Amino acid sequence: MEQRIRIRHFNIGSCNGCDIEVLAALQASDRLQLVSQAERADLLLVTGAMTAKNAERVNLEGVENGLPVVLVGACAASQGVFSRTPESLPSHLEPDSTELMVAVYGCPPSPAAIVSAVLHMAEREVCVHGDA
Amino acid sequence: MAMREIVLRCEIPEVYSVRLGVDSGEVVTHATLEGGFAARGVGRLIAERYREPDAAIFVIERICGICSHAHTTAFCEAVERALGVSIPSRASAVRTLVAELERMQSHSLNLAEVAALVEAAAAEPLAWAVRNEVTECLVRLTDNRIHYGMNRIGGITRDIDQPAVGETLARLEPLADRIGELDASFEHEVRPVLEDHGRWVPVDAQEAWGTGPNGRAAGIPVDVRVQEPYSAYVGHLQEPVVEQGGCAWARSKVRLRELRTSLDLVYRLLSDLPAGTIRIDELPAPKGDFMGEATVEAPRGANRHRVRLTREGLIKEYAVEVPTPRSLHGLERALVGENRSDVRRIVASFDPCMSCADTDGAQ
Repeated sequence: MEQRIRIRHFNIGSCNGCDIEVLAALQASDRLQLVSQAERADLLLVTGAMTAKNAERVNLEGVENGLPVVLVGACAASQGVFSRTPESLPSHLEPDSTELMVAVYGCPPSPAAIVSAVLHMAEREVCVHGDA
Repeated sequence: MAMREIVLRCEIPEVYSVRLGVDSGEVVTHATLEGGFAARGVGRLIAERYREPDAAIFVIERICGICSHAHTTAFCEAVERALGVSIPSRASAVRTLVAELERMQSHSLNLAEVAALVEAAAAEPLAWAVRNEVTECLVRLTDNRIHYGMNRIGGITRDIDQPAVGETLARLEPLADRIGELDASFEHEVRPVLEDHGRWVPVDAQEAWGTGPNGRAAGIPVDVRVQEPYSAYVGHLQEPVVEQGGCAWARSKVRLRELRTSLDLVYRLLSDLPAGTIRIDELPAPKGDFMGEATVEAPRGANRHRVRLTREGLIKEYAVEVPTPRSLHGLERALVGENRSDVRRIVASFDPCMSCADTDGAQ
């Protein structure tokens, strides 16, 4: 059996729409698995635009640690409709700024698109390690 | 007796956490739910940047990814009341139809979550199967899985064609049997675990008002669709689904039974969609300050939107009252006396929606 991809899902201020589609993606593919600790994850997945209250306690820069990051939905990629509000802060997450970060656009994206982005990034990660 | 305090975080730890006091026997002595993390300042965003009602709908739909249509419906009805217009009957029927499919996908999602937390091996995939079917119906009718984009001021954005009606009716046929199987698996796997646990019985109808399935599970018939019918509910829904006892099982049971009542309603509405236009082409120009208020029965209870328009028809003031916070004190009380290991299941049985509760950060 192919190895499962362990995902740490960060909801940093989402409307739940993307989160439900992430759940649906987990239903659709048995290769995806959620874990609650970033230390045990193969990949980070982010939904929502960073809210002021989450910014106080969630430090994504601290947990990335060379892991691939999948930004799910318009809010994670660019704050979406919540951009430029005092409650939503720009995060350092820049889609496609590095090989390790990719955005799946949509409001929300479909579960199939989420699965394919996660598989793509997880396999890329394998390649990166393979080259080293 | 030795006491200590622990913090249980939700499965996605950023969404909410429950601060618990437990005694040496792992029994909960007090509980507080901590949220507010998804506060996105929707009210201010609209008052400052999306003042045109049809533009505001786009943001209002994103208050919540589970009950987005309930929010836009309440908002549109509030604006329509402020303008003194009523929408064509076909638009009204489609609004109601989408609302009931939304309720079904929301309830089945919650049932899947509850089933997963009690490790119900048969019930969880069945709940997902029901939800997937309902989602497919929503895709066929609205082209969207989550934010349906169907509402606009004065009616709906687009019509539903006859082939879509036919295909959806065909898809709904086997759903009654699926719901029957889900019901049976819940009786078998979930009932023994949840029955008599996590009891919340509101002291009166006032405390229960707007708490949706959570209040109805405690024998209190609170349902906006029945008590203050709007859209196409008038004459369609005679009485709320009510269970007794207010335990975690009763809350799941109400949602299971409501899958059927919603399915019936969707079937009836689709089989008999009124012909005609889908929106008012020219909305009346506002004169002076117009206030409008509308309350709809969202999947989690009464959802009230209030709006005040300017002379130019722009939004001057806007406020949302969502259902989840009304049940939160009950949820905290229901956890006291329970074993720590049952906390997550009991929380899930209340179906709290933190995205709605955190619309503006105030709880």
